Amino acid sequence: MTKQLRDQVSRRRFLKGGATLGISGLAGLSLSTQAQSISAKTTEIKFDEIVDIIVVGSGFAGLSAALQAAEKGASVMVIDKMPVFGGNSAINGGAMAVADSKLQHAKGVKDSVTLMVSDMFKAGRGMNDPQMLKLVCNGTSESQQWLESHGVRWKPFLQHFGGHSVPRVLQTIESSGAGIVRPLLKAAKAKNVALRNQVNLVGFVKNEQGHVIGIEAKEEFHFPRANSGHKRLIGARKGVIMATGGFSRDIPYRQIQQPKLTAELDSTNHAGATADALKQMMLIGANPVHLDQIQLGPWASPDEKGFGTASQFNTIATYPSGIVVDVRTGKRFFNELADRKERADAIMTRRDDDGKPVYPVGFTNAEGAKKAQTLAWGMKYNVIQKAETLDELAKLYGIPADALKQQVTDWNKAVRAGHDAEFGRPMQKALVIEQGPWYAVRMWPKVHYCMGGVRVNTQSQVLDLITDKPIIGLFAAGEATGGIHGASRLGACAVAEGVVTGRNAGSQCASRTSIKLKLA
Amino acid sequence: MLKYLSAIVISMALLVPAANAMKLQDYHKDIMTNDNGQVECSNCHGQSKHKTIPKSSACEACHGSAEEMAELTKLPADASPTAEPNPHNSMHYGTDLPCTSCHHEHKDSVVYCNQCHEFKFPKLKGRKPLSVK
Ligand SMILES: Cc1cc2nc3c(=O)[nH]c(=O)nc-3n(C[C@H](O)[C@H](O)[C@H](O)COP(=O)(O)OP(=O)(O)OC[C@H]3O[C@@H](n4cnc5c(N)ncnc54)[C@H](O)[C@@H]3O)c2cc1C
Repeated sequence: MTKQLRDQVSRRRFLKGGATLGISGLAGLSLSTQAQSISAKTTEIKFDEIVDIIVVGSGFAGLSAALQAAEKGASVMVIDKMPVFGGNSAINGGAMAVADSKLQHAKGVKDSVTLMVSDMFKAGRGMNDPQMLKLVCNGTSESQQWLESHGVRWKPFLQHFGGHSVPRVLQTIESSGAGIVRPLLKAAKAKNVALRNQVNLVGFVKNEQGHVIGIEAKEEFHFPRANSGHKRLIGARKGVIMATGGFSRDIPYRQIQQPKLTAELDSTNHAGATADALKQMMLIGANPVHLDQIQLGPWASPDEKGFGTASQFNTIATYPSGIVVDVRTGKRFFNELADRKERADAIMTRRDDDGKPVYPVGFTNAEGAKKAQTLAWGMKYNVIQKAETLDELAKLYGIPADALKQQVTDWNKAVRAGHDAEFGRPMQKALVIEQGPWYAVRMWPKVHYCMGGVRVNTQSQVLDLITDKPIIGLFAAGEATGGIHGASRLGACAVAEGVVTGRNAGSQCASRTSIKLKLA
Repeated sequence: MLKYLSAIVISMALLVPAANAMKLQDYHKDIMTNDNGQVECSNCHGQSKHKTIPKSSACEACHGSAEEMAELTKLPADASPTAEPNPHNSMHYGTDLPCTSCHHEHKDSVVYCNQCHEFKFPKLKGRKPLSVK
């Protein structure tokens, strides 16, 4: 019998076991009949492999969950559909917001969990889930130390990101989330966590009580070939943790939520940031919240793909220490330190009469760019351009030179006065920019982060759409969850969210009592 | 039965030239072709369905381990800070990236990193000519 045939037969056998399917149907039969999930009596299901906890996804959330659970003594398997581990986390900028950190103490910055909550609540337009928001902010400082204990190393200075009222951002020395993912992978391996790539979750296995007791997954899966791989059933005695990230690269699905987010907009995300896992959770009754709240990164450049070199350059140089102007007028047109939504919305108003983008230009001088690690790279690939004088800069981008020079003079006046009368930008870290050379970038937003996801409680349990009670055995963490950030996530708060909620899910799941499952 | 068999024979006869007609990278043509002039698909694909993407272990059988490969393409100690990185050992993925993420046999090779970066990697063989920009 071929492998395929065998899979079909075994699948049929389980579906027959699904005669008890009516039980999961309590929450709504129509839902469960459409579900890919398999329902059967626990005693009837035979798994190809069994562990205590299955973690789906290997980013900050998944690896934190896995390691935390393993530290509590659980046997853990991490699966990821992609050929490499780390999802968005491995390509991320490595910036983590921490309230009341040791570095803040050392630098004399007064901060608190309450202040971080209120900053995030403000950016979230008050739509944030208050319980989850508190849980995240409260856990940042301890989680940062936990990361350090596993070998994560930070730059010795704090950064002040847009929308935060104080400098509270730490960044890995690599300027990348890989500086977190790699140490966590190493620690997970040392704790005997089974790490499996190219394994795609395609459904859940539930028992007669509707509890999640395992998953259906395709091994040797080759993203994005939907038909690749072969199916296996993996059992989870304590539960399944979904750490499957967002769907920024899923153009059809993001367009269903936000028709304006067409293929014309690039994304900063890895190719695997699609909605398939989210859909599977919804099929077994998870409650999707805020799916149409999709964040654009206001620091990206149309002159390169993805996150590239401009994003970090603008975050660390142009935005805090420079200005952004409309190339047609040479004038500023928004608060460069506003939160992401405000900035992205402002940039995207710059269009010609046919609606085509007129890319604004952001710039600062050598002093403003001195911490920009990606400057040399950006220049090498012509994404960041250098000009000795403002006249040269104006010529480079077709900006009216006199207007540009006037704008710089006006800006410097405002910096000296400590007050931006035009757009209300916070001026604590603003820099007088007089001397060249100048460094500049063209800007246009890219799809960056999904605030929406499944609804969870403070035990990281996924809540049922109808009853709002936990779907027993199903946990979720990280970007896959919805509601924490409300309408707009503040920069550096996704690392915080991923690590804190991941660890929370890991320890909650590990503390459940095991159920008995059978091997095939 | 006979009909069945002959169908197999015919389909095999069709299959082999088809496999041979398939694009192979120049640098692999010789070594992948047997004495009868036929391409040995199993060299890379093993006994699995031919459409399955080979595992890295198939490449490693001739080329050495991922770590050995990374050693071969290591940057000199005095490399400039903007020298392109070691393609076989990245800050994001270490040596974990499967060979087939970049190296393709039946179509042009690609640079996996270039979903975000703009690396040239001029030594990468078997891909579209680099555009001069
Ligand atoms: C370029 C970039 C830079 C960023 N910079 C920062 C920053 O500096 N600070 C900050 O706070 N945030 C930043 N963010 C946001 C942050 O990185 C992400 O929100 C975070 O990495 C999400 O972590 P996660 O663990 O929830 O998901 P991910 O890291 O995306 O991991 C999810 C994983 O699940 C896997 N998966 C999905 N579906 C399935 C399935 N069906 N079966 C198996 N596996 C599946 C995916 O392949 C993926 O590997 C950045 C994001 C990007 C893209």
